[in-house]
Amino acid sequence: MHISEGVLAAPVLLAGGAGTVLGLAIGLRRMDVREIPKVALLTAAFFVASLIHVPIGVSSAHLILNGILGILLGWTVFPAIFIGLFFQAVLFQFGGLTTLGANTLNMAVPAVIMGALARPALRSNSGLFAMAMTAIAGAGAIIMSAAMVAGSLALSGESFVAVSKLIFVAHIPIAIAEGVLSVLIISFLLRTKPEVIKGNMHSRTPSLGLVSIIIIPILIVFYSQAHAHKVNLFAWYDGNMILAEGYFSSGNKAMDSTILVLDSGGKEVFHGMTDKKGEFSFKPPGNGEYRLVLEAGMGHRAEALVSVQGMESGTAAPEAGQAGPQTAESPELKGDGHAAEDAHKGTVALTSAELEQILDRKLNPVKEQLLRLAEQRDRVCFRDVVAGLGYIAGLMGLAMYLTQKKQKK
Amino acid sequence: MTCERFASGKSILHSADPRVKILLAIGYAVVTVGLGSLEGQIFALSGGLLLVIAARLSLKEVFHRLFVVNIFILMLWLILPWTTPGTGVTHLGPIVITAEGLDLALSISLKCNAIILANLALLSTSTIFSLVHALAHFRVPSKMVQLFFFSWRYFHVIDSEFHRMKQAIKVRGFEPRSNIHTYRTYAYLIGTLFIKSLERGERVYKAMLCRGFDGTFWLLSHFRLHQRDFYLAGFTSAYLFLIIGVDWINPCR
Repeated sequence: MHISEGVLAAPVLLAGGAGTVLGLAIGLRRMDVREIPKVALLTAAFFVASLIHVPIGVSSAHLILNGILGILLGWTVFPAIFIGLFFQAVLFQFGGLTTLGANTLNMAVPAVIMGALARPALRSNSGLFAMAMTAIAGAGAIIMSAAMVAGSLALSGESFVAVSKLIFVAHIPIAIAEGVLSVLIISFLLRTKPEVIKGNMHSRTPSLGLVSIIIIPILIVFYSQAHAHKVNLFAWYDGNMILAEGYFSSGNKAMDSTILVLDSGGKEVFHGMTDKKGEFSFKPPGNGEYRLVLEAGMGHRAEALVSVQGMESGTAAPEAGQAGPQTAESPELKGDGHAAEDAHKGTVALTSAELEQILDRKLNPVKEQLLRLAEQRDRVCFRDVVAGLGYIAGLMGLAMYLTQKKQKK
Repeated sequence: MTCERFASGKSILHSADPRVKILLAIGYAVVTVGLGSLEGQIFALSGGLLLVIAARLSLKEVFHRLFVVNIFILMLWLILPWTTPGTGVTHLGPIVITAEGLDLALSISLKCNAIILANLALLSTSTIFSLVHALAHFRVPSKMVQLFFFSWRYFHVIDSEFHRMKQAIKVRGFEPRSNIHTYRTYAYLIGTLFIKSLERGERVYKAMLCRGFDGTFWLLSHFRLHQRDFYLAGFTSAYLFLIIGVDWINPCR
């Protein structure tokens, strides 16, 4: 479950790093100096165990065991998993240095949550309920980790969505195997050395720290995602067709991008591509509100709303304006009045071309001004960064204050 | 188990200060991840290759490592070209291969391999102990450094313990299959491993207490920067600036 270098987008890497640093800080604070050799040896044992390949059906997979690690170590899983992944990155080149933060977070957060879920049950009894909780913890930690890995891939770009789905599905059999193994391992430990689990090591349940660890990376990612989609779409209705132009905020035209036209019910009416000038036109089938969605790849996406009014419905069939010869039109329609209609169209086209030129000359400066305004609104200012850091410092302060209070009690 | 395969040698990268190497490795990774142009990525990859050659690592071993890592990259090559929206290049039946998808897969492959080569040359030429020692000099919390140190020290002990137990079950005719017997055997193996390591951890701590351990982790030897460290840092960072320049001139894809 390692994501290699060079795959994840910078905001995801940063978010993973921030969450992991926070988790490491909490994990180290909660670990007593006396526990260091014990935790270190368990870390080493897990590193060895993760090299075991267990047969699952026709194939095999190596163990992850982060559910059990969470049950045994609590918050200390953060340093333990971090160290394991660091060794793997340096020794075997699995994962990597830049992805260390994200990879640690993806494996340690499920471990902490599932450990906190199963530990109270295991401490109180060792019957069927405790074993069921262990199975849930063992399988759930893998499922959650797979979901987080898939999520960090999907957030890095729309191209990775298919890969992330594949990864998630591939981990389901592993999760089942780990659930079974967790029950067997924990019941073995309960029989041979119950104090490992029933002892009072790390009895406090995770609370505020966990919440902040989950929330801060999400904030960072969403904050940057909101600013990443800097493509603008202008759309209007000229009485006959819906026209649209796509621009990147750099001023480049969004050419050869997919455009989806949805009606007010969200149903797809038409889809097509912008041409070399980033333009797109489409004859609407009737009155109503249309939503145009421009997909310029790599997570660039823009939407625009157009309302169409004063149009005789029923006469027009959906067709692409740039398709040239109208393919959608059925041959029966080409009747007697066709020549006259053609002539009429010709004159309209001529004047509209002229009109368009004049309008373009007049409106282009306005359009550029609008673009520049939109860009200014979207740009991440230094001010925003400082504000974000302020939020993080404030949340950390709050977390520290509350944990301090708890320790005094 | 021989993990630190590349750690012994006599090149400039082997003898350089681990602190310098860690900083350079992080710098190389961060710069490479941020590269947007094909030219920049090719420069990064060739830089990694140059470092590996400068470290005089066995190229056969290096390519073996690269091969294992590139299996994941191969998966991306199989999926990304048809899941990325963009301009179509060719059709394979109903599937459209897009130029953007090919570009993305290529850029990931180049970046990933560049960073791996640089890490092999910069980090894997040090022993884990000296890397952890260098981390201590970077003011990494003492508890973290101790964890690193003990985990690595006892990883080998536990690994040999594990192999001993594995041999024992093999001698008794165990063969891994997809059944509950296999799972139970593995579970007991892992459980025993945990108990053994926990007990060893307690023994180690007691032994340390006997020798007056009070939570302080003493560092007796210290690194000293030599001229070769400045050469290495100078050349590598100059090359990094060259990559940034190349990337800046060439258009982002």
